[in-house]
Amino acid sequence: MKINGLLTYLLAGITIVLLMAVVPPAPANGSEDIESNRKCVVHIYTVSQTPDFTAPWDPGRSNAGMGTGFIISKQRILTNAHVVSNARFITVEKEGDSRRYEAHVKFIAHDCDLAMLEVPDSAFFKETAELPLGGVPNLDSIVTVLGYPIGGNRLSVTRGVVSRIDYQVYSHSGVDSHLAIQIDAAINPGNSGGPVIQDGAVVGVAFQGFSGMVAQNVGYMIPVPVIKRFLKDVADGRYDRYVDIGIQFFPLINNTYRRALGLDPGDYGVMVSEVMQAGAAYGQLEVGDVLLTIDSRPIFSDGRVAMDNDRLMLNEIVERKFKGDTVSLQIMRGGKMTKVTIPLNTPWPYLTQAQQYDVRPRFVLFGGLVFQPLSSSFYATLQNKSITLRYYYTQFLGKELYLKHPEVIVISKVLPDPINTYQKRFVHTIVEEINGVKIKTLEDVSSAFKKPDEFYVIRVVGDPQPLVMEAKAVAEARDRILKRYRISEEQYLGDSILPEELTAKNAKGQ
Amino acid sequence: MRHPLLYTIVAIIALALSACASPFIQADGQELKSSALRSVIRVTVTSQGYQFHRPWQQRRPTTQTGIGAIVSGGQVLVTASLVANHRYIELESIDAETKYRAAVAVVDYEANLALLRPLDDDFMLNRVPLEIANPISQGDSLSIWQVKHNGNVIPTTGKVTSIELRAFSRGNYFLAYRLNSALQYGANNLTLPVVRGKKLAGFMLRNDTSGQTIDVIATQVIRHFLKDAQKPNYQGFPRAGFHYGPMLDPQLRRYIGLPEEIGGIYVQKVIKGGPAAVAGMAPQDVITRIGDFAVSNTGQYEHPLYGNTSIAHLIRTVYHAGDTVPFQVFRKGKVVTLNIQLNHRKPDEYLVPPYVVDRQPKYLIVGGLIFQELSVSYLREYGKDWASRAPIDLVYYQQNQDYRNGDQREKIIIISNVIETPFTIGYENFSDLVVTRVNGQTIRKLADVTTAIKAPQGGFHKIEVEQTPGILYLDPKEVPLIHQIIRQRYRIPIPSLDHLQ
Repeated sequence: MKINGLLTYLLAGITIVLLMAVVPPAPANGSEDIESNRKCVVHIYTVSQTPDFTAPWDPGRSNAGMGTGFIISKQRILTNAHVVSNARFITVEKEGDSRRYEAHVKFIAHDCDLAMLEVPDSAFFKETAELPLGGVPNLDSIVTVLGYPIGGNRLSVTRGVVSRIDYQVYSHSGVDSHLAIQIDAAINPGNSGGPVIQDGAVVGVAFQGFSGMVAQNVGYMIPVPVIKRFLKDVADGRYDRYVDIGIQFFPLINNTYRRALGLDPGDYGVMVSEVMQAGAAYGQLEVGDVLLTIDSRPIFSDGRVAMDNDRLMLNEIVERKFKGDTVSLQIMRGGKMTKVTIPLNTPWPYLTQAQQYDVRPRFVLFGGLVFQPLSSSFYATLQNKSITLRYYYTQFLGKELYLKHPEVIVISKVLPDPINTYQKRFVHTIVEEINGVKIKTLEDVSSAFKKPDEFYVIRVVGDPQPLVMEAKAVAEARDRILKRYRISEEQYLGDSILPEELTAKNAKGQ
Repeated sequence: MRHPLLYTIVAIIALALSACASPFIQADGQELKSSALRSVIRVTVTSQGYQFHRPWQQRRPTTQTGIGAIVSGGQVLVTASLVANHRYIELESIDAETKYRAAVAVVDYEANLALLRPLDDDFMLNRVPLEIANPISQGDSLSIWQVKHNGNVIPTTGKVTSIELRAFSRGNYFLAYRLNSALQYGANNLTLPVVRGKKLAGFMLRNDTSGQTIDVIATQVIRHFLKDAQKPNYQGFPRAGFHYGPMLDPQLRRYIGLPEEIGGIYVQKVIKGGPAAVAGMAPQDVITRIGDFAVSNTGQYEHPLYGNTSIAHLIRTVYHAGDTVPFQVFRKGKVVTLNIQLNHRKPDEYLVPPYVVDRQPKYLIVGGLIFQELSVSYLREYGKDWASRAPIDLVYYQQNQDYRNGDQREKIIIISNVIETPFTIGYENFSDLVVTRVNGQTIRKLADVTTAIKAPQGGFHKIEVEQTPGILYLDPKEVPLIHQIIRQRYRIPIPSLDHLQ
């Protein structure tokens, strides 16, 4: 065993030496000018406050964290969104200066884990340098990672090769997948937001590793196309998020399937298998349509297109577009060819599945019952998830449950009081209606309880027995409950992720 | 076989040794042994269930041994779990002297009881049936009989600490006695008779070694089973066919207008076509009396012996299938009496059958797609915690089956898996897809697939499913070829399309 290991090391060493010998020019030898690069790197200190979704009225727990950032043109500092999420106070430090400067988040994009910071004190940028943005590095080329990972306070440099270029789930939001580049340089906590450099230019932002025992030397960086998209999106002063077509497709690699759809054997075309009602393609694409080209690029039967000297998923075409852009598709429907142009949007139901940051938990408190919308952050706090709750969360998109329940309102907690002694069995049930009014949003809950009535009758999903609260009893218990549990406010209706047209109507009703 | 003499010598030495230790117990032991020899019998069952993910395939045969009780009529009472999916049953006198063959006469997987019929005429020679004990009370001592290979009975005695309803199988609650004791010696089988005096007081249901408690199937449940087993067509323990909730909350009571002094439970759901529905029960009714008993607002009645006891015991165990029971309900300010004729709800009467035992799962293979009926037995293939590991939409179907109003389906038909062949490339990841239509025909049961598959449309079989990709296609001309490959490469038998009829 030991000898084998040693041999491998020796061989690996030889390979690198050989490579260096065979490919003499700078690009592949990976040695970077560390003295000029260190002027571009920033050490970021963040004090953040994570809201507690089990006590939505509480300000939350404070954490101190560290990360890395780097300076690009126009004195902009780039880092990861997760380095500065939920931040209350941010300071930055540069190499060769022991002072710390306060920084602010200028733009933050949780769906691609990027953020831009600004430092009001221009003195900070004295003797700093800016890193230019490069391109997508080649497989097997050498890259250098700079940052402040665990294990010490000073700048750390690691180096590795580009191992893979593919789609990855960005774990910060948990639901967004974008292009990511896998490198074999170690990326550790603290490295986040740091630049990955090749030939003196940034080729990526180090952002996540691979946890678990099965993989080793797997680190990921956000590649330049994603960084450039972010910079372009915020150029107008706000970040608009990624856009999407709002469909699922099925690869057409089965020959029988192809014949049934009237397609020749061959490597082209995918079939639309789901069209989301909240998505951009709704009304224009149908299940069963065959997608042939996207923006004139032929689609292969596995859903990839030729792009950047590679075969990338067709999503990449859409990924690089912005709110208001369109995508044109050549489709075959019932044997006939047509072209459709789809104005892209952000299908909001996805956002309920994404981890939320920089928001306060939404809630309504009534008679000691706490009503909260089902969100990723709330769902993560649950210990034992009922089948109904799991179904509503996991099938929210797939079964289009958002049509009836744009927000799935859960009775998350009962703060014990004599008036709710018998309501504990309703904890973690989903509210269907209150006094005959269908509940679609948290605003609906709030306004239903504001309408005067003798009884408030709450009906929940999958339990036909109503939860009844007497208005008089609730009114009497109100101050008592707020005081006993030291709750400063009875509801928070801000930070809704729903599009305005779904909440505006209710806002008027209040 | 070894020499019988050797055994005798060992037995004598053992007896001599135990005689030295405690002569009184020896006398007791002897008497116990001889009475046990006449009234209980070792039951060895070899069973073979099916793998629901590969319904043509049987599991490895497993052999379990339990101790059965000989009851009047010369039949042997055991737990149903012992004989589930049995292939071969052997009875053996506890001293291992004689063996008999037996068949299952009646089995009830809900109450976990089975009655075996010995096939040899001389079975009852020198045997005395165990009488069934009178109902047991809290504080009574009961003995669980374990029997060693040599026929020695090892009794574990414990006191009954509580008597209440416990889950005998999923969703089936019956009366059980809880003993505060631990089995005297480790046992790999759970079918053991529980005795009070010289009468049968129950069967061991569950042995909790960490909590040192033993649950025992109550005599009431056994009497009910034995009585029904006398009838030519065994039906099973009855149900009334409704779901209910407590009426504790005074706010709910005032909302409904229920007077303070009336107890009662809230009817949440009346199962379509069930006994309560037939008698006219409706959701929102408040049940205040069942038979002679008032129903409390938590769903209890005053049991003459045990006090507060769940009405599930009254409905399911006190009454028998076929009995007509008056239910008094409070409905919109009025008291109404509904005469409900209770009956047993057969597993096949569920949208998602709670168990499929003693038979091969129904399935079809069409072009490598495996069509099956969704059942709890199928879901159990996902492991002990199947409710969290099986696909959530299937579990949700199972949980909400009685609440699917207007669901015209008799069963949920799924494509459980795909057997991979060159013709199904790209289909390999399909599993647990819920089938809605085949060739344009709505699928309500598995036999519908048989009919629909005979009428391809436009030269293809079009199979519509609830999950992505929504539609699957097969070429009817390729299907025989696919079947040939499956038979040759995988040696999987393809049942004929019509085998379900």
